[in-house]
Amino acid sequence: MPKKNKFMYIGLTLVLCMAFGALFAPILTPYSPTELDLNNILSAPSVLHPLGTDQLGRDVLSRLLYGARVSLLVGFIAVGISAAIGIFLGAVSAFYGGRVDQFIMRFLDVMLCFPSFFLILAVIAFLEPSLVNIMVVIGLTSWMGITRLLRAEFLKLKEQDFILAAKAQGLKDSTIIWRYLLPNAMAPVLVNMTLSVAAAILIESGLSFLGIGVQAPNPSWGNMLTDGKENIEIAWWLALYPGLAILITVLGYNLLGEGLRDKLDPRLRK
Amino acid sequence: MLYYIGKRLLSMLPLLFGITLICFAVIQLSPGDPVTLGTSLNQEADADAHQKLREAYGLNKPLHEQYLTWLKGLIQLDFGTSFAPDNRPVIDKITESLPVTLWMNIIGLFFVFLIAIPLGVMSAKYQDSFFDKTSTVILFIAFAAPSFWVALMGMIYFGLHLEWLPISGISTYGSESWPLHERILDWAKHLILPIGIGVLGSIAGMSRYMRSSMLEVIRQDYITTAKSKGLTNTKVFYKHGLRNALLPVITILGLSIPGLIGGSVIFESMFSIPGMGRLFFDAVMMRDYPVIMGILTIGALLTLIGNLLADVAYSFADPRIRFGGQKNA
Repeated sequence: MPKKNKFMYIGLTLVLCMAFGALFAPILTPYSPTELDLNNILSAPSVLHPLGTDQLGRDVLSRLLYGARVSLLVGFIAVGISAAIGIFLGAVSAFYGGRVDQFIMRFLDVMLCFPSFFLILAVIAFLEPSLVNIMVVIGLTSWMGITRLLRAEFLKLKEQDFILAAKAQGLKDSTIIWRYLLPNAMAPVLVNMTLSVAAAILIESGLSFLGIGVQAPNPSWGNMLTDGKENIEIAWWLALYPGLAILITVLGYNLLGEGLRDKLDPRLRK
Repeated sequence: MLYYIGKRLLSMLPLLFGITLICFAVIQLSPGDPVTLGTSLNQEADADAHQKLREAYGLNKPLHEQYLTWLKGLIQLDFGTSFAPDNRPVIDKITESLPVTLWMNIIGLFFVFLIAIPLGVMSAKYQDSFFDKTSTVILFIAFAAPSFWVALMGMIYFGLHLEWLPISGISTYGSESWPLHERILDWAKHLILPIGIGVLGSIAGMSRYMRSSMLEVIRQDYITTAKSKGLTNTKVFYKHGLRNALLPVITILGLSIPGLIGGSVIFESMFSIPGMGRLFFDAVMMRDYPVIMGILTIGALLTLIGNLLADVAYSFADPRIRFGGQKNA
């Protein structure tokens, strides 16, 4: 299916471009993201400042590029945390079954009942907003999907001959899980992780937009949009570009994830 | 049928218990204390005054006692009184704001179904056509756009540039005395932006879901059978295909409730809508513990009820669940 692959490569390109921008931010832009230039407040996009400046005279393009670092960092670390929890709980749940399985699954059901944005908001507001807290809290509230996926994969694999053979050989549980089960169950988990990066970036920008995420003067796409909202009547560029950056990044990870899913899911192949 | 509903209700009990435990834990694990926060600007509040305040709120008792007291109140729908200056009962604040959020979501969901289902079905019917490809691209973009940013753009364009729509609140001040049809028009004008933009993401997600559900169904054996019986393609597609493809949508509806409630926080704050999302946000900013605990619990409860309704609806639609579900419960 060439069409699907095309989407996936578009996604990959967007993802790589953003990563490139974030990585080489200091080279790509001469301005500091936090340095004030009070002679240049709210100037419209021009050759000097291609995306304009904000209410403190800071260059919007450099803030966007440095903001990409924050977004990607939050995306990756939060998903890393949720994947670690999800893989551990899913593996234990499926491998040992019985009471352990029941307990983990009920706990998961309870977690799924909470509107996760409410839960995140409550915890972050109590813990003082900081980059680390955001990543940890997003990670701690989004492991449920991966747990379920991995558990389902493990349950399918568990009864297959090569696992039974490994068990008959008397291999340790941890060896069976790490060497035999996990590598065969990772495909859907990887797809889910790619899509989760997009979700985590959206959550972070929402939190920062509400003022309880990344704190000023550090740039984040979310808190740049707050500035945009406050100057909504005079400076459209402040509100437009950070949103576009979020859109492009999230779109990139979504396309990449969907493309991977189609590639890895044999049921959808004709 | 009653047996099935009863069984589902019973299985909700441990979940309810878990929900209250997590709500309580979230608040207790946090280092902030409403007493120190509430008096931080007041130099005269000394340790003695702090102690008195803690006693007044029951914060000096051991944790399990605080939990049991809270739980006892919860069963009687008594969530305590708000720490906010108005000191009103939490339940009053919630019952005031909940209908706003609920109605907005119900109206929103109605439009999601109205638009997403035909869109998804058409995409599946004319798979890989020009229509399918363009709608796929547009929907992917709509799905990726942060809704609060789209809302911001909408406010700039429709509210400030064109001046067509109001960008704050749900009704014009003083409109209570207007005739009914003008009030309805006024509400509609206020709600177009928040609801219209709020449902964009859901429409994108739901129609993609509908499309893949439809594509999966038409590959099933019974569709081949129906075709080989000599039925027309249209009849097979809508009567045999669509009906079965709609089934999983019921479940998705149940699962989307927490997201919808959670999403209300940003929208209601942006558009100054007096719903539960904004109440929650304000409470979080003031560390208004009783309100936060109350809304967390109610939000989770609504999700539980939503899931129950979805399950019951599913079992009505699909007899296999009703009669065959006993063994894997």
